[in-house]
Amino acid sequence: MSETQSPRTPARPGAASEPAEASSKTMSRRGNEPLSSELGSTTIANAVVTKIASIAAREVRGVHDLGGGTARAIGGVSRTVGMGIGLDERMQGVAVELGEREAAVDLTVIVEYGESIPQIAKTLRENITRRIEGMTGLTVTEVNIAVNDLYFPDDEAAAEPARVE
Amino acid sequence: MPVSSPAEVPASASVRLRLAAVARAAALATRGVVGLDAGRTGMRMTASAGLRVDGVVCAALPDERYQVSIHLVAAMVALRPLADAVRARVERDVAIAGLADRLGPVDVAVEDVQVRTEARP
Repeated sequence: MSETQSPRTPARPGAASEPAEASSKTMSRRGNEPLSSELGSTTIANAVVTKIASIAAREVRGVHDLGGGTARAIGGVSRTVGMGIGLDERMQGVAVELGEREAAVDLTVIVEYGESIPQIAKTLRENITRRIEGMTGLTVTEVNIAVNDLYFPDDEAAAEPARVE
Repeated sequence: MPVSSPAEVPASASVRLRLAAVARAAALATRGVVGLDAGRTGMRMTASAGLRVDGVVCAALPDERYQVSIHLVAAMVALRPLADAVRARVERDVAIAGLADRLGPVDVAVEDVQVRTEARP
């Protein structure tokens, strides 16, 4: 159960050999150019883009959770022993590859049963691209989505029998 | 001892430490900056004479200026304009502090973003 499409160019960030613009001495205000000059540089950490993508993905209706079985199991263990709550848990299921001007996102999602997976994938791409490009100025070249499970609300209730009567 | 304000740094302190303290305060005063990040190992800092400025690294350049690197945590705002605002504020406040001739490039690194419901440790 996998949905993988490239909405724009198929190339990964950094894969294409583009002329370097590091020699520019003027401060660039355009979002898709590296902000580096004699006045200083601006860098955005991978974790930042990952978190933005994760939050954007969770905003989409029909997405139950992010992450594959292993990632969620590890997240569950971490939560149980009081580690990794917050940042790491929020970022599971999202991998980001960053270049100077571009970003590619790989996403693993669990979709609610009954929802249209192609529609969710389309909305995910649009929302993630809008959020990342809006906040960081990076160009999003790819949002690859893997739907690895369906969520049934009844399953969760059945898996937790009452401990006392 | 961590420094939370430039006023805590004596005038006799090193230029490096004074620059770091001014840069830290300037960054924190910029709207959209939630905090500074010294990293997991706490190595992103400037220390001198028992005082420490977390989240700012000042490194000497050959021309007696200092390169200032600010590692920040941002709110969910447009990050590149924020970095420009931080840089401008640092340059302004450093000039007010009389250290403009010692300031080199100001690098801004956004290390994390914080959503409203997320508490920082």
